[in-house]
Amino acid sequence: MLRLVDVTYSVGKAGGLRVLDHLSLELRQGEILGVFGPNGCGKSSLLNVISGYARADSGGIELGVDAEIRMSYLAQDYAETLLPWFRARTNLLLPVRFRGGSRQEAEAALAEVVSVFDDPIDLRKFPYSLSGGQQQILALLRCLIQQPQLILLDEPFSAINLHRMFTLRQRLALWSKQRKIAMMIVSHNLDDLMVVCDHVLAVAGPPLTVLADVEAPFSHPRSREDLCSAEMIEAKTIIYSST
Amino acid sequence: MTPGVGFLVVLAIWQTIGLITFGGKPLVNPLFLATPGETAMAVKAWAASGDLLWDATDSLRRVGYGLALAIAIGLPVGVVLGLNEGARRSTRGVMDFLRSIPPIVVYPVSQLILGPFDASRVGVVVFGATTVIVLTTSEGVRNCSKVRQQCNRLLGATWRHVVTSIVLLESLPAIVVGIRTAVSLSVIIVVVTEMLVGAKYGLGVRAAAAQSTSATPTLYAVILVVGIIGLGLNVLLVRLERWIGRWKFAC
Repeated sequence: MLRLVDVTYSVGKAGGLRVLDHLSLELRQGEILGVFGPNGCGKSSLLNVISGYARADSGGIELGVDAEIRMSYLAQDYAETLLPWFRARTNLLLPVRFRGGSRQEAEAALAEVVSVFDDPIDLRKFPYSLSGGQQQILALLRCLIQQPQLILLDEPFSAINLHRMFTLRQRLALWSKQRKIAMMIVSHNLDDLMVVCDHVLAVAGPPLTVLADVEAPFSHPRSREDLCSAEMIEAKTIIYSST
Repeated sequence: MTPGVGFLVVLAIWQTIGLITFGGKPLVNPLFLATPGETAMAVKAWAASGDLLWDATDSLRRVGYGLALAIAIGLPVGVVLGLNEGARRSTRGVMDFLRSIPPIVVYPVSQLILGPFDASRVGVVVFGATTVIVLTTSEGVRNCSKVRQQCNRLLGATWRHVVTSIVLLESLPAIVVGIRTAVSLSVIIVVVTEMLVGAKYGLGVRAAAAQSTSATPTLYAVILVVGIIGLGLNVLLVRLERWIGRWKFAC
């Protein structure tokens, strides 16, 4: 699905800070990978390089078995990726509009997402007048409506309140598992990753280095009790102690 | 305080200067300065003769044609230059050179090519306004969020979508500023070229005629009307900008 081979990437011109140094990584179809690390270690750069927003200096990025795979990217500055001149509903349905889908297609896509993520967002509003958390959910749902095979998520729950975040994390994991969508989630909140991901890479950097690769216990959806269980705490301890 | 207060103050100063006398002689020679009252009478007479309507519509038509052509050329060129850093950099010198030429200077050449009538005036407006619109549009487009374009490309946006749904709307404030500058420039160009030769009607024609007959009140009447027209166009464009950018204020 996604394979990084010896990818090197530096910020700025030649001789700049080397953020990725011969990094290799693999992501299978439907796999949910978490990347946990401190601020500024190169997590976001990794997603930028995979998404094509930044260009790697060297190394290969292979996407999919066939050439065409759909990928969507929830960037850290998610609010900037929304189109503020369109109402929330139009924003949400942009992927359908971009591929020239019909009105029925749009309605179906909207209904599917809304049935899973029944969040009370007033879709008639402009993004400007939504709260930060609502904008983040909107950007996230917009990624899902595209029906990609790979989703890159950069701090996807950073603005969402704790109560709503829990259900959102569970549903996101289920959505991915039911549709075999691969996800790569970058966060500095370990609980986010432990609830959603199959396994979590503990990283440090720059350059981005993998310190540990830990399987998250329990099958999806993971409950609050799972998060507080001895197995989960043990997994988290391994990650914390490796960083 | 309303904007009207400023106008009243200016009007009061204007009237006062006309009233001041020194030893029986007015401070300012009446040949140089008409009072607000005289100017108003001149506007009234001008309007009553029917010429005002023709002068204004002819001038505005020239501005309109020139501006429409300038936008039709400048907007696409500006978008392409804004999106393509290489193209922008390699044309920047040429653009700066063209912008440094006072548009009026090309009027003789324009007359040579397009003839002595309106086409040559419109040609100068196109020359002057296009460079302004290209510059502001390309800067506006260049400053658009790259993250927004890239993320929406991943969501499936084609090049056409990026231009029509994202870049044009995002750079709209810059584009409107460019058009507003181009409007003022176009009015200047049209009035000056009308003063020179060839037109029967036009605000510049009226100004030149009034000057040659020493009709000072008419001269001030033309200044007043040109000012009012310019102000009106500006207000219209600001309204248009607010209307198109209404998503910014909606809650």
